[in-house]
Amino acid sequence: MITLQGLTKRYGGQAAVDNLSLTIAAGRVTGFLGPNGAGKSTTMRMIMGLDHPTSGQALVGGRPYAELAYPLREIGALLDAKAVHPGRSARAHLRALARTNGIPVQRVDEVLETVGLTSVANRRAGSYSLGMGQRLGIAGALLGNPGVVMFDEPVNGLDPDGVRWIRGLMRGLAAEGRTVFVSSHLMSEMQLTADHLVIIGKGRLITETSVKELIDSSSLNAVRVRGADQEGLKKLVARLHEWSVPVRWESHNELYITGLTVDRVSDVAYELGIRLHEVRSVEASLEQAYMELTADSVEFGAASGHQHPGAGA
Amino acid sequence: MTTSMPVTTAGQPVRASGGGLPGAVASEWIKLWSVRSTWWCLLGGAGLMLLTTPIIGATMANNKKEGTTVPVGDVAVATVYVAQFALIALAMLMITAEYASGSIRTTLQSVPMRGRLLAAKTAVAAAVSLLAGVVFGLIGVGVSSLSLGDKAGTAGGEALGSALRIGVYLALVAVLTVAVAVAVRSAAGTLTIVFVGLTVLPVVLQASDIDPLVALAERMPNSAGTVFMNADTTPYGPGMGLLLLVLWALGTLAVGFYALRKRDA
Ligand SMILES: Nc1ncnc2c1ncn2[C@@H]1O[C@H](COP(=O)(O)OP(=O)(O)OP(=O)(O)O)[C@@H](O)[C@H]1O
Ligand SMILES: [Mg+2]
Repeated sequence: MITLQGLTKRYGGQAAVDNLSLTIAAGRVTGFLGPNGAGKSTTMRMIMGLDHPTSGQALVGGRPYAELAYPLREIGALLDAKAVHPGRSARAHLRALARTNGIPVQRVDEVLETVGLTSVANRRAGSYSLGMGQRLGIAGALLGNPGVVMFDEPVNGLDPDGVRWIRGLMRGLAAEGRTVFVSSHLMSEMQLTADHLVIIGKGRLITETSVKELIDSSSLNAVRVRGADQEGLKKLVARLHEWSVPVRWESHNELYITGLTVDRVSDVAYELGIRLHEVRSVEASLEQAYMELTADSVEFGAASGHQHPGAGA
Repeated sequence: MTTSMPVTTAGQPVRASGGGLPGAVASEWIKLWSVRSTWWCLLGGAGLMLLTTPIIGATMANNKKEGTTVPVGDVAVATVYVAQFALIALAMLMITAEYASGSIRTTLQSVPMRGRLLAAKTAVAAAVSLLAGVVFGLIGVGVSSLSLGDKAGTAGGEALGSALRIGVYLALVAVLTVAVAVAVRSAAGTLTIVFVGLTVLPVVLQASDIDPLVALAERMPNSAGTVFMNADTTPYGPGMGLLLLVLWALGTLAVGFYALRKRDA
């Protein structure tokens, strides 16, 4: 379990992390989302005792990182891949890590096996590909068999196979009852991996919710209606306007209706005698729900151009 | 006919230590010997001693009156001022390579107590430099007694004493280097400060002819080291030389420790 209590980090006058208080529970994958510069990596560095909070504190299993006698046995983290001396082999790197925390050396071979680096374990880490470096970082995180694991954008630059592997790994760790805290910008991936979400923007907590709740709350969940009967569709729109139900023309023969169920829309169409070819509920993706939620806190967005999906609703 | 040999697991430490300071030291030890630069530094230093000793020995012999001998220990000490940069590089890389690669973050995650980490790195750098320094010293006295022939002054245990003192001096220089590197973090910065501090600054101060500055120059690590290694009696004794060296090393270490504690990784 990770606990943040009023965690704050200022660089100059600017708050990178602003009074963040939350608990990251065990037994599930908690996704850590937020636009670039939101403060995710800074938060993680403070949890790992690397950066000093300006105020507040981060606790791992109830204690500050610096007070853990064997930190690697409590929490393992992959913060940036390739945080390894390029001239050192993976095996030597892990053996050195193991010694600091009284971890038996056999563990080194076990984690090398887990991440699939056994055959290249004696090669210089500098010769590793991005994905191999990522795997070595994960091996380091798992070395102490910790109850809490934390990954900062673990799938960055990985091939589809690697992405699937990490997804399976994280789900597996959570299923074993461990705390899994992971940041990512890949919403489609998060939708598949995470159970719970912590979303921050400009250093502040925007929301803490489950993936399902977030998607359900999106205004982009709608009923899509299609039909060739233009006049009929117009009648339907008029009726919905009377009820103040949001409705939008997607094309000349397509409507998106928000706030009514498929059953209800079908019934209304039947009452009005409108012939339809399709009535189907469309669910927002996590990406769309997320974009809607964070639209106001994007710090480094593109200057102009694309309109985010929530804009028209 | 063969006697049964005990089965040993070759070289690998199979016992898990309990972490703590011994674990941190063991970890630094593994890290030091698992990169090539360590070997290059040691070979480079030994090579420099081998190559430079005859040259410096010849120069020192030429400056002496006919019939007098040159103490081989003095030749070794003079040569160390060149070869010391190999061990300075070794000690420096233990810190700066970690900052350059970002692995300092992994290291600090495994040993979050800054004091423990610094103690472990300092101990390993000092121990390796002590041993390497004694070997350098032995190379210096050995090569110079060969190259100087009958001009070599090889009186009693003096030469061996010089080699030991060279080891102690280089161990303290390694501590100094670790401390500067921890405060500065970059290789270029560390090398500049150590080089200027050890060789350029004392000369500049000495040349100023301003009494307090000259006195300071005489008490900087370089001069203190010379007095200590040569067992000179002016401007102070070898014991004072050693004390000054230790004070410089510990003082710089305190600054390094403060920086390591205070700053974000
Ligand atoms: N060492 C530092 N000095 C000054 N400012 C910093 C430092 N580290 C981070 N920041 C600032 O803090 C803010 C948060 O950065 P952080 O890296 O935590 O964001 P992030 O959520 O991880 O972003 P990304 O998704 O791009 O990785 C940014 O505005 C960044 O510029
Ligand atoms: Mg980041």
